[in-house]
Amino acid sequence: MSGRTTYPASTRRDFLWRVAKACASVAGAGSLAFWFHDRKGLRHGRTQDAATLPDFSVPGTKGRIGVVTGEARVKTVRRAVELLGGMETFVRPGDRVLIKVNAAFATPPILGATTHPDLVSEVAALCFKAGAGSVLVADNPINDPASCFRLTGIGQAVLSAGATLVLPEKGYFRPATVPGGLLIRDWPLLVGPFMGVNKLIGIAPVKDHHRSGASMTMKNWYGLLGGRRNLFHQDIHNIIKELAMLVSPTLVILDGTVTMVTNGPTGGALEDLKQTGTMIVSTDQVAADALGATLLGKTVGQLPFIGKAEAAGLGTADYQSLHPIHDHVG
Amino acid sequence: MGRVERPPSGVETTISWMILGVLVVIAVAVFIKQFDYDPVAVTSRVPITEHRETTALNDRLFSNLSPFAPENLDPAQGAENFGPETLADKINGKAELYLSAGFLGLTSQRFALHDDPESWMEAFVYDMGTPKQAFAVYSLQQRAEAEPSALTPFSYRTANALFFSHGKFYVEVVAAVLSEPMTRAMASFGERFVEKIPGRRESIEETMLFPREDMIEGSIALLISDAFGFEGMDNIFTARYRVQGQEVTAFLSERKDDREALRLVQAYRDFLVSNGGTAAPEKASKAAKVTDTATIRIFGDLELFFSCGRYMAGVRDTETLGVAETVAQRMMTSLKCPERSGGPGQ
Repeated sequence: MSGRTTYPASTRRDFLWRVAKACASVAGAGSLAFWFHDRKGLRHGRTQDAATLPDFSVPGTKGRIGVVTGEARVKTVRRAVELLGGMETFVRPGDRVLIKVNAAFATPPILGATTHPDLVSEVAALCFKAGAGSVLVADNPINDPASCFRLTGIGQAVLSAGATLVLPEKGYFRPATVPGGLLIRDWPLLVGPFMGVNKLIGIAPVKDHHRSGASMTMKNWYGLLGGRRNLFHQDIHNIIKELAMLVSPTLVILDGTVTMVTNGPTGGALEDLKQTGTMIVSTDQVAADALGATLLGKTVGQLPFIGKAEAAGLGTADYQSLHPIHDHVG
Repeated sequence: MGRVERPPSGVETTISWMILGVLVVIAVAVFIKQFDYDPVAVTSRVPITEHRETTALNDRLFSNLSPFAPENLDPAQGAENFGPETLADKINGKAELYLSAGFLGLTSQRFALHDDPESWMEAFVYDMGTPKQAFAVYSLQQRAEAEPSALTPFSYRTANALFFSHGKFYVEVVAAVLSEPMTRAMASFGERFVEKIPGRRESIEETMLFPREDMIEGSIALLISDAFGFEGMDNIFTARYRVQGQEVTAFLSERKDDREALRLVQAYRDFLVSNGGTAAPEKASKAAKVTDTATIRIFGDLELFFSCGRYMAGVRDTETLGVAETVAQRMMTSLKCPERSGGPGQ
């Protein structure tokens, strides 16, 4: 007789018992999956996880706009901020200030497609002089971020001013929804640089734009979006409006020292630029853009996003009603 | 004595472990993926329009642009390649200009002077699919103050850049600095490109059909689609003229045959009328004696257009009938329009 063990054949009862155990396992796994499944999904938002941006405006400073003409942007911006009460009106000792620049492209300053580095240095210096505890500079460029901040000169300007450059990292994005918005819903927003920030300054050049007609202070916030944001170009005026709904800055600075009047937003030839020698600083981004439109030779009517932002109650396109303060720096 | 169950066989055990392994892999993948969601796929309310099928980047024409760089230029970075889906990642809002004109691919690369690495330039080589499409994007971005270049029939220089179309390519070479060595390097890049890449050097036929008298230099452009806001107007060449102190636009388009040209005239006329245009009350234009014309006044401006053989042509952007007629008659002479043979007119 061999040492092998023989086993009885399976009976019907064995078979049914095994089938029952298998079905119970499947049912259990399915129940677990059903319990984990988020039936509402991202489409309806998860407000407890959604990022929001606080209102960075300073009480009592609403509706101010300063316009200074001159060729030296360092001098004109300094004077324009003075006209609004000085940086100390907006930045208090110990404040953590974030400067949102336009570093969208890896192009040199002479092409006027990005925020000028001299302006970044000066504004950072003004913030420190007003007592800011720290100054951060950030953007989510269209091209490679490291190249953009290097070739635009903004990176070096930040270092020279003693400020901190914040490159966009994957973990810095969280989904955000604009209340009442149709486009920015659970969309990745660059919130990392905003940690602990209590003042926000946007600095943008005046540029022609192939899709929207112009790229100025409100369009500057596009650089806070992540994901496949180019999709929004198909509804460009509404996305700019929603960006203005999303962001309430302390101050916006619109650099019209040299304006890209054609072939925007990238330009490429110096002939795309026009010396317009104008610096606009305002607490009303709609008014700033409306005034900036004149440097492009365009009307508010030709730039629908301005009217949409005004209609949404985000500011006024009638910048004259704010009684702009003018000056000239030789 | 208790019943002894048969233990699982080796095959059964192996299969079980494999199934468990697959389940673990799925669980890990789900765990990782749920931190990296695509809001476009889930939440976007903006319709994702279809672009032309992306040319596989693996089939890109240029792995790098160094073959076109003169010896005193060193690559400052590797070449970047973009297709229709990613073009906006490089040129943002301007992408639509190229996409609507048949864009297939872009290769860009930065170079720096060997002796001065801080002096750099970037070359952009756009594959537009056909010479006409390359001309379209070239012409629509032409700078008014540019200096004509002899590099190709369609090329010009600015203080810091070189722009040209060659064959199916539209090329931009943009410098970050203004210097003689950089200007020479850019010119050399352009010359090498034209030399190494096959492409017809003769001009585009339609551009030669515009009468030269009073034409504004460098104003000829090509609108690939939706010219003048009308969906039916595609492949429309335009040129600007200054006549009697007024600027006016002339346009022409070669159609498949005479009938299509006439159909386009009728369709464009109907489009203008449906959008508020009215037949001009002036007496029949002199141009109408040569060939059938439609003269529509819309929003204060006149549009005078006609078919001439397989060409549809006309004049617009002027308030004065006399100016429109002057340019229209020159166009008819240039196109060698046949005498009027009757048929639908105004």
